[in-house]
Amino acid sequence: MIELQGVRKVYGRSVAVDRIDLTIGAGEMVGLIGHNGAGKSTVLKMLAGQLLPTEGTVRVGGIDVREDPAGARRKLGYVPEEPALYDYLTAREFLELVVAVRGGGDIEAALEMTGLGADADRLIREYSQGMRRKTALAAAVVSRPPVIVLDEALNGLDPPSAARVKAALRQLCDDGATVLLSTHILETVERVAGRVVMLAHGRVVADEQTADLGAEGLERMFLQRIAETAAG
Amino acid sequence: MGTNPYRLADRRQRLARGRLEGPLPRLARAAPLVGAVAAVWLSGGLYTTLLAGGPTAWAAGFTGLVARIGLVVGALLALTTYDALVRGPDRGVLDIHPLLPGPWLAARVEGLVRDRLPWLLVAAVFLVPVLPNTKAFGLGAIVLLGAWVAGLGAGLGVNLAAPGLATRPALAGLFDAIRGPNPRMQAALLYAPGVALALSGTATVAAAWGAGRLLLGDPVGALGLAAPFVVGALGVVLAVRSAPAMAGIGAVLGEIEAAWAQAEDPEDARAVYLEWSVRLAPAPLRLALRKELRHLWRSHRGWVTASWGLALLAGIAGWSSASDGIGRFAQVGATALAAFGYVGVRLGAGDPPWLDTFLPLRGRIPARALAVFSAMQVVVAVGTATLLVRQGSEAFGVFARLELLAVTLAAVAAWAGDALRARGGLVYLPAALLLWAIGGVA
Repeated sequence: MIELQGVRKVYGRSVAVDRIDLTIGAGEMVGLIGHNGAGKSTVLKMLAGQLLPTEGTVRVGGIDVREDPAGARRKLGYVPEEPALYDYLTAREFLELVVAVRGGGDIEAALEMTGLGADADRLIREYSQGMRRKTALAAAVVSRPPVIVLDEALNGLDPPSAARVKAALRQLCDDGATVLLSTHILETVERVAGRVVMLAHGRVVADEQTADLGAEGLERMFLQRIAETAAG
Repeated sequence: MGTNPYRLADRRQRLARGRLEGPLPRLARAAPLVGAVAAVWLSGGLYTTLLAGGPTAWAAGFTGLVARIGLVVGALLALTTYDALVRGPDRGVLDIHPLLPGPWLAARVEGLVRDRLPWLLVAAVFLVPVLPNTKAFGLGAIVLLGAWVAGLGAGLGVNLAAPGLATRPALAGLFDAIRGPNPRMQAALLYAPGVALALSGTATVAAAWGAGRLLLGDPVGALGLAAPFVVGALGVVLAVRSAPAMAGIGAVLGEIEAAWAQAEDPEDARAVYLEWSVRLAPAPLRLALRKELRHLWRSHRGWVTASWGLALLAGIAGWSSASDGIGRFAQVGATALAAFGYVGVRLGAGDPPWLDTFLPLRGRIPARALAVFSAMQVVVAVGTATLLVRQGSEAFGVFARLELLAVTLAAVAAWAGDALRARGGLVYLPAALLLWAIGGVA
C-alpha cells in the first residue's frame, strides 16, 4: 500500500509537489502520468526514500519513509529511470546480492519474468540498454516486495519482453502487490493499469479508473487536462 | 566469505575486472611507487637540508619530514574514505535496497584497506634517505602507519557518524551556527571531511613529535606516537555504531543534489577543466577553443590527470637549492611538456573524417594548440613556483624557456594531428625530441 498525505516538496522557491493526497491499495496497478516537470520523479523519489517531503507524510507498506527509511525500503522494489548496476557482475550474481540483502527471493522466476535467462551469466557491462533495464526490473521484483514502483521502466524493452513484464506485473497485482508505474507512454498505462493518476505542476489533476475513460481514451483526457491547467 | 553478500559481490567484481583488464592497468597501479622512487631521487637536496646538523637539529628535521609525509598519507585516507563511503559508485546501486549495516561496513573497510595499503609502501619510500639510522627509520615507519590508521579511522567514524550527530538536540545550537542555509544533516555531511582531516592531521603531528622525542631518548614521546592509533580505533568504534544510519543517507544526499540542481546554471554544469580560460582567448577562437577543451577533458581525461602528476614531478624537481637544481628542473619540465604535447596529436586523430564537411570550425588548429598549451601550464607553473622559492629569480629564465618550448610543442602537435591524424605522431615525436634537446637540456 502507498499513502501520500498532504505531501509538499519545495526546492528553494520552486514547488515541485504541491499538497498531494494519494492512496493506492494492495492489488492495485496505477499509472502515473504528466508532462515533463510535472513532479512524477519527485513523487517516486520520495517513495524510494531518495528525497524527503518538505511537508506531509509518505508511507510505503504502512511504514513512514522518514521515520524508518530502512524498513520502508524493505517493502519497496524500485526501478529508477536510470538504474545503477554493478557492471562487473553478471545479472545472476547481481540478483544473488539483492536476494541476500533482502533476505530471500526467487532468482529464476525473476529472470524468467524479464526474459533474461539466456544472458543471466554474462557481465552486465556487455548488456544493451534494454537488458540493463530488465536486470533492474528483475532486482525490483526478485524478493516479491509488497510495493513496486517503476519509473519509465518499460522504455527500451523489445515488444516480447515488454509484454512479458506487463503480464508479470499484472500477476503480481493479482497476488496482492501494489504497483505504481510512471511512464510517458499512455498506451502502456491504458492497457495495464486499472487506474490512472495525472500530475500537472505538482498537483493531482486527474484520478480516474481506466475503464471509465471511454472510447476517446487517455490521450484525450491528458491533452484536455493539460490545456485546462495551462488556462487556469 | 560466503556470509557477507557485499564482500562476495566485491570479490566477484574484482576478479571479473582483473580478467578483462589484462596486465597493463595492474602495471599502471605501480606508477605511484615508481613516481615516489623518482621523487626521492629528484629531491635529494630536500632531505639533506632537513637532516643536517647535530642530534637535536637532526631530530627536529626528522620530525618535520615524517610529519609532512604522514599528513599527506592521513589526508589522502581521510578524504578518499568519504568518497568510498558516501559518494562512491555503490550508492546508486545499493541505495534502493535494504542495508545490512554490519556486513556493508566490514566489506567497505576490507576494500579500503586492500586498495589503500599500497599507499603506505609509497609513503615509506620517502623514508629511504633515513634508512642508515635504523631507529629513526623504524619510528618514521610507525608514524606513517599511524597516519594511515588515523586517516582511515577518522574518515570512517566521522563520515558515518555525522548525519546522526546532527539530529542530537544537544548539538542543535552548534549546527545551527555553522549550517548556513543547509539543513543540519546536510551541513554535517558537508563538514565531515574537514573534521576527519583535522583529527587525522592532529594525531599525525602528535605522532611525529613523539617520534622526535623518542629519538632524543625522551619516553614521553611514546604517548604522541600512540595518538593516531587511538584516533583510528575510536573512529572504527564510532563507525560500527553509526553504520545503520547509512540507510537514510540517500535522502540527505538527494536533497543536496536537488539543491545544487536548482542553483546551478545548466551551462556551468557542462563546463570542463580550464574552460574558464575561453573568455581570455581572442574572440574568433573562443568557439573552437571551448570545443577543444571539452574534447580534451571528455575524451582524453587520462592525459589531463597525468599532467597533474607531471606537474608534481616538476614541482619536486624544482624544490632544490642544489647548484644543478635548475638544470635538473629544466630537463624534467621539458620532458614532461614533450610527453604531454602528444595529446595534441591524439585530439586531431580522434576527429571524425566528416567533421570538416558538416561542422567546419574556424581556427581549429590554433585553438587546439591553445588548449594543449593551457593544459601544459600546470607543469610550468608548479615547477617554476617551487624553483622560485628555492632558487630565487633565476627561475624566470627557465620559465621563459619552458613557455617557448610549450608553445612550439603545442603548435607542432596541433598541426601534425590535424594534417596527418593518427600518423601525426611520426612527425611530432622526432620534432618533440629535437625541441626537448634544444629547449630542455641545452
